[in-house]
Amino acid sequence: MDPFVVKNQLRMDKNYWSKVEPKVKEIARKAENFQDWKPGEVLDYAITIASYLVSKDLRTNQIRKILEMVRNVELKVKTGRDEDIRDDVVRIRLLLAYTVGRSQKNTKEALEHLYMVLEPILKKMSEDNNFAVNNFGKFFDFLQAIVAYHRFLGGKEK
Amino acid sequence: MDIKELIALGGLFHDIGKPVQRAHLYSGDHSIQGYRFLLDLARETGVKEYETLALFARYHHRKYMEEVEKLKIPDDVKVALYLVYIADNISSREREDERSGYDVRRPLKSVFNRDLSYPLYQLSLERLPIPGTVERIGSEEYRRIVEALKGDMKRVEPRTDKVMPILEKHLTFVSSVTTENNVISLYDHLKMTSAIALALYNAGCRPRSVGEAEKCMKEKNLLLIEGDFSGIQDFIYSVSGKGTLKYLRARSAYLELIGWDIVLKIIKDLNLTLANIVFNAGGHFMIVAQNTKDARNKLEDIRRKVTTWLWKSFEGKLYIGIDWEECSGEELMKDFKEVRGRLKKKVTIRKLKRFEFVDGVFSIGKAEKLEECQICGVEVPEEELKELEFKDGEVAKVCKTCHALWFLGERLIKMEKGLVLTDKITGEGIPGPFSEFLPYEGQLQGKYLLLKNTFNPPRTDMVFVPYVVADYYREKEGRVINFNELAEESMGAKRIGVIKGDVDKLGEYFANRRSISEYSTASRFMDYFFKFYLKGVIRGYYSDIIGEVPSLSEWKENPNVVVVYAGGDDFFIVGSWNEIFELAFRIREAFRRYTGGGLTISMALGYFHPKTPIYRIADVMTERLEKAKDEGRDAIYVIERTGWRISYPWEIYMDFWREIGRKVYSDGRLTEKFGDKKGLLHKVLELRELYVRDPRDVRWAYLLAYHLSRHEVEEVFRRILGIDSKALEEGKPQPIYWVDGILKVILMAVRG
Repeated sequence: MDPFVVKNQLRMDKNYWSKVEPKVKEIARKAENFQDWKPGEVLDYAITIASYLVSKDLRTNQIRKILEMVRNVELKVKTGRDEDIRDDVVRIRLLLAYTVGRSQKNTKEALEHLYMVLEPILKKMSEDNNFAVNNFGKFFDFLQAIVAYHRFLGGKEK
Repeated sequence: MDIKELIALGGLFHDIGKPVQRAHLYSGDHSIQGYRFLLDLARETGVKEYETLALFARYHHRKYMEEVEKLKIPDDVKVALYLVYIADNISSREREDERSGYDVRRPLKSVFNRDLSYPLYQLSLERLPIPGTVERIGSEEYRRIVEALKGDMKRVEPRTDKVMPILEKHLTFVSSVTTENNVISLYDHLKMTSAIALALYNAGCRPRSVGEAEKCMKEKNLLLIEGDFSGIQDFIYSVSGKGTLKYLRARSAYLELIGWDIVLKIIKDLNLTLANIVFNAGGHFMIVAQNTKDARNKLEDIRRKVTTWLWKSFEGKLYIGIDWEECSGEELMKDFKEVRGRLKKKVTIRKLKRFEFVDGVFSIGKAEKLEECQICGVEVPEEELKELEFKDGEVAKVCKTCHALWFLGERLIKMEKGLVLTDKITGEGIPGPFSEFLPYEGQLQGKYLLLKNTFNPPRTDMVFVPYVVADYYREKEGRVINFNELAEESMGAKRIGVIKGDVDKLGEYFANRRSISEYSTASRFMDYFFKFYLKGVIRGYYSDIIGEVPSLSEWKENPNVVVVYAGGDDFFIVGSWNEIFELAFRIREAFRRYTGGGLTISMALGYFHPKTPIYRIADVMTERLEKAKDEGRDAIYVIERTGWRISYPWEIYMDFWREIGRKVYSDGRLTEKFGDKKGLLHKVLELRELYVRDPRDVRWAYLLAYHLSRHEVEEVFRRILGIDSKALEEGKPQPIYWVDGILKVILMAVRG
């Protein structure tokens, strides 16, 4: 997927989100098999989701806390400080749900879709520590990629 | 006129009627028109010899040969006519191609690419000959060439050494035969005919009929001689710290002169002419001679003397393998590839044996004390060392060769005219194996006059040898610029730059030449690119042909560049690093057009501190060029990099430069957008590293997108930003892999 093409389409079409919404839903369905996503797919999905979030005018400061939390857990996994990260994952899930819940009308929908994609992955992690430890790096990458492309596609921080 | 000279000239003039006929100057076939042309020349100049030479134009085809017997001319001239007749047969294999029929307007096809052809013009440095889609050549164009040729002929006496350069200048782009797809220049056909005819005569052939002439051709009357230097690199570059740039140049020139000395000695001892030298370039020569016991003995003798001399002078650093292979004219005609193949094997074996003739190679010298020359490291008896005082007051003890080269180095480079090879051992010149070399300023007398870069014969009794040499150097205060100054003149990082390059798969290319004339055309055209046109490329000529290339600064007319060596198929050039960088691309584009894309070239670039020892530079350059060759050739080693392929295919680098380099950098600085973004460029390099460390990881992709968009320059890097899924499937590197060679060079240019 060429991010430049997406960027262009976004600029041309105010209702771009309505076109990618079904794709985001499809990604949410595929989230069940997160472990099977190939590196290229991770990027493509991140671009799609980022484009949806930008089109919905989501600002990244709204998910800053989640990002920070994920980064800390990633560091933990990487350095192997703690073997069981299920509790951490549960905390991320809670924060994610809370962020969606308290969001304002205009961005609620955007966050709900992000939730739809991330929640199945996190859920699986909180149930299976082995899965969590093995896939957390990839999850972190995925989220980072969403934020990076959000920026690339013209999304704002605040 | 001496009969041998007559045969040699007869060979050179026998087909002069071809351009004359194509110019429609007279009527009749080319034999008759050539005959009449030479008769007119005899009348206009009053030189009687041209009347005799006209006979060679008139009688060299079978259908006319019957008339020779009845001619009222001396017997030895008849013999000469039969010899040229048969030599013409031998040297022109192209006749086999007669099926396509003749069309006098057909141009000469390129020996590098048979689909392209040359327009008709004189050989000159100003014009880079580019084969293209020339359909036909008109009689008007031939007329111009013939008139100019005649004008030049009138100015010289009929001597092979003086006639040859004139023929070469005017007939190089004349097709030897107007069948389709002929790649042999008429000049080379004339030269080879002359060479073979004389060699047959020297072999004792005295044919008095066509039948006897044909017999001469079937017997093993000929020798193909080949010589090939080894250790050239070691010889030129393994000098100690005191070896300055001008000294390096002098050493490479010296090497070339040693080659000439050997070739000219063979020619002289075997009673041959310059026409018998098929080529002499890049430390490699080939000669056509007679196969007689006497000739072989003389060759043995020369070989022994050369070998001993080389051993004594350079302690085995430099060696030349010389060998010969007997063959019949028929073989030279039909099986040139095989004959040459056999000879090449012999030369290779000879090179492996090295110095077998030299007595005492393994014995330790007399009890005398040996000391090392402080420049080249040769060990000589203490009393033979001479003192050399450098500008900085330091005194070094050096061998006599280095001593002579040191003082003559500057003169050798700056000489306007050329050199004289003389027998006289004055001690003032540089010693060669057989002669002494002295710069020529217009006075000196000697055996040979090697005049630089001209095809116009001088008025002299000495034998004239055109000495084509890529002698460009940047002058500074009336002398050759030095390493420190080259670095000082460079942009950004103060470094000297070096290019080393050579043509890809050249051995294979030459092994596939079908006839000796084709070989001659091919080697001459190849050599001239590096000796002749390279200088034009450096001076900034041919820019319309070269087109746009990666560049860091405006190309000046007198760039900060010194050619250390160029000839044959390779070169080694030093300069300010940013100019050397651009020069590589200029040379490549010129070469690509020059060969019509038929051959490729690989090069290596290096950037060094001016105090780096020369032998170290030479080693690094050799390694890098080998790398580019190993990685598939047609490539340039631009800069050190990480990853699984270090060199760049030319097109990839130039593409990336156009797409990214030009937008980041132009007019000697970072573009406005990037003026304050060196940090970002370093970040891009870092992300490329991330990719190289784990190509399956994709973090680099989104991080790159993130950083570039933060600085709002994502458009510039469009090419490397996304993941190329096709490349991924094919196992090829992602575009980002190639970006570092562009950015590193730019960062070097803007380093404070």
